[in-house]
Amino acid sequence: MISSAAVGAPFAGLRIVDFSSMVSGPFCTKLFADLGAEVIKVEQPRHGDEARRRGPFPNDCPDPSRSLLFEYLNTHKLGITLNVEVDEGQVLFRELVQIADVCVEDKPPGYLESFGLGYQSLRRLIPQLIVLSITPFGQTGPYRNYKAYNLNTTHVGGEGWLTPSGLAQRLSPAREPLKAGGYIGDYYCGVTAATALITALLGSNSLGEGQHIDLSKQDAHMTLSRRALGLYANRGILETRETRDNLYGGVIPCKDGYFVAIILQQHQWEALAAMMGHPSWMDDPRFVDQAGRNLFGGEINLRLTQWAATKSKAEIYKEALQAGVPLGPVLSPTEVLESEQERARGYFADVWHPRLGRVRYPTAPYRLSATPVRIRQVAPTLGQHNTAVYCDLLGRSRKELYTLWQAGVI
Amino acid sequence: MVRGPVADYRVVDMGWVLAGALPGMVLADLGAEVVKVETQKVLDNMRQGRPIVGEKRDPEQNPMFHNVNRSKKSISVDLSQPQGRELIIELVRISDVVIENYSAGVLERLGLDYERLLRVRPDLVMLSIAAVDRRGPLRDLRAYAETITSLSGLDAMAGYPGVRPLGVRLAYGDVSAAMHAVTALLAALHWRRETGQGAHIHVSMVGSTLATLGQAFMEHQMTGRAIQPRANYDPAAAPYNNYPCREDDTWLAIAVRSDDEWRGMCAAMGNPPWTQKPEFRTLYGRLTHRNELDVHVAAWTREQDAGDAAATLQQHGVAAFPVMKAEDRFFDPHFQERGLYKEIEHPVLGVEPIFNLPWKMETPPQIRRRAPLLGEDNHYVFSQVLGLTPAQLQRLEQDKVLH
Repeated sequence: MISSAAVGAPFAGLRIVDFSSMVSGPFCTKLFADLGAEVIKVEQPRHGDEARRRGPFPNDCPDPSRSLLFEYLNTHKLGITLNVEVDEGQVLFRELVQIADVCVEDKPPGYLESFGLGYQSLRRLIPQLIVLSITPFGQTGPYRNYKAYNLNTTHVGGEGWLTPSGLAQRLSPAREPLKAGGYIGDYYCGVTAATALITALLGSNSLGEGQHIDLSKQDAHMTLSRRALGLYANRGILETRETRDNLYGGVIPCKDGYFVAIILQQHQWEALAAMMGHPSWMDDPRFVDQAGRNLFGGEINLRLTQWAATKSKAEIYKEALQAGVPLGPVLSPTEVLESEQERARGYFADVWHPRLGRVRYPTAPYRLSATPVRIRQVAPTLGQHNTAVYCDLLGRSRKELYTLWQAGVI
Repeated sequence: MVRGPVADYRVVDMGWVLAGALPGMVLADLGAEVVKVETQKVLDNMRQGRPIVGEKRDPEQNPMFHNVNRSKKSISVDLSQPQGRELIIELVRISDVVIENYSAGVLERLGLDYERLLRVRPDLVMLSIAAVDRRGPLRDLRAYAETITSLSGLDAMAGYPGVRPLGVRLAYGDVSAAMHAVTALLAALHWRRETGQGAHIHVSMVGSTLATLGQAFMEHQMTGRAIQPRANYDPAAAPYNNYPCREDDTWLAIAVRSDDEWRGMCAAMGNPPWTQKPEFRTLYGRLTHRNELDVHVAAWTREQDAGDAAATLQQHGVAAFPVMKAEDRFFDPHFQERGLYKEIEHPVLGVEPIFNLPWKMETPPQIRRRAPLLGEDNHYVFSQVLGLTPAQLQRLEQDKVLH
């Protein structure tokens, strides 16, 4: 295995101006920053990235310099403030992208162009610039100007309409479709955007000039649910929360929490029977094949619940692993954090954070080398690197910095 | 067809099912020559399943397989035979990338592990995807999509507040791992262009899910609170939910935060009397009366068509969109204009929709070819690329090395 520490930093020397907020854009640039790129995060003066105000906060005390969402998403970045809606701000923005390779932005289509800062204007100035635009519905099409929050984007993708499904849906019938936890849809858009951006970097070598990437969050969400779309398009099957296949199993309560049972094949059903000691109810002719088991799934789940009532999820998991049955413990984020597996992998990095104290960060799910990923630099406070960027990089004097700051430009 | 940004690369693709097949698919759409390795004896699991045409099982009839293996080439090589393994080693010698998601230990037993392949290709970039990392106590885990979401904490977060966790039925771990893997793979290729050095990349499906739940882990540490299901709740916005519409099981996702958005929503609804209540006038009031708001909003949406109501609300500056089912997505004019899918002719199943990658640019990913039939490119790869003679090829077929 190649163990050079530098392999962990393939984007060293790449400079990105990041004019995005909340989750998708910042996660995309975090992936680059963690791999060595210099990311200059541009925030609105005073207010800053919306993620600073969203929390969660330590001990539930709201404080924009301690938002955990922001702190997680903005490691290894430089932070500056800039108001692009005033003339002097536009001048600074142009100067910034002139010394950058990439600009990432997530403003509504046409917003930056209204200040002469859209891709068409910037490319005249800097032909080799790559601009990545992340918007809810893309730069083209009838919905291009539609607004969307995380709730809306998640539920356009198709998985929302299907969650919760099967027997889980029957526990709370007629209730609203659910989005998955946290911001996973937006994070997924971020990693998709990162992929697109690297292809632009690789492609621009042959083009000899930059390009504009149009990433629609909706389009990205669609690719999370190819299966449901394929079932409909190819087989004419429209899954619903009630009919989504594989009706037995799912999340089932046990002595100390929940486990998940996914039995898709006959041999797994037989292994389950063996593991449970061949109880007589499993010989019921109605359960002889998967179709019958799905039809009477409620009864099977009742039996599984009874069986599991005296067992812990760790016991169930251990037995299942030996028996070759795909059962898994439903871990809370707390338990994941403490789990032996993730410790073994060195997946979480312990960080001494000046404002949070000691805290463990999840790190990248991939390793490009044997070197463990470390958090070298925590997220910036609002405008923390204004001097470094405007004075040291762009050559403005301290006096001018002060005036720009007083005037609300930065 | 635009020459893709990775057109110079050749990939030996031993990635199966969803998480394993997707990275190769992305590289193939970007122009790389991706050679998928299977055999009649050991098929990609995704080829198996109920046939669409006729009664007999047929490895060429799974539309999802066609979706995630389009643009690739296929060879059928029996890796249990020494000659088969030698052919793969010869192919790796003239390739840039190897992708695999075998169970732990399989490649070592076959003599096709990274250290071995490095001897024939010192700048190899290899991608290994596993459910959990191949170190640690869970390394032999039998993982399905649903066990990934349970092991990473996502299942525990899905449900209605105050009700037990319901879990998600989503292959999120597969798809998220695949995109993280592609990011790392392309980063390694970028690195190799600069330095000539290869790398071995390990991606875990559980880790890929965890990386997208970062703030939830920090929340537990910094508040001591166990993370509970929160449904569609957002602490900073109300109304913020899915509301039932006129047709059965149709829903409208409405998200309102600012005062402007609130006034826009009220206007779109025709300013009914309840919108004038003083407790709803400020964001503070709306956040503290969110359940009451939900009842009023739902009473309005129940009389509406989801699509029409969304259009009206959007005209008033409100983030509103119908909760879409597969049928809606398939026929929606916006997604058709965006080119959500392309119709591709397949020799067994006829015309099928094949879903595009979700971004546009001057050197975009493109569907380059329909999914290959099993072993369809044996001749091309072994004669033209590796230079075997017709007699050698015939012999390999007779011995069922190519099978």
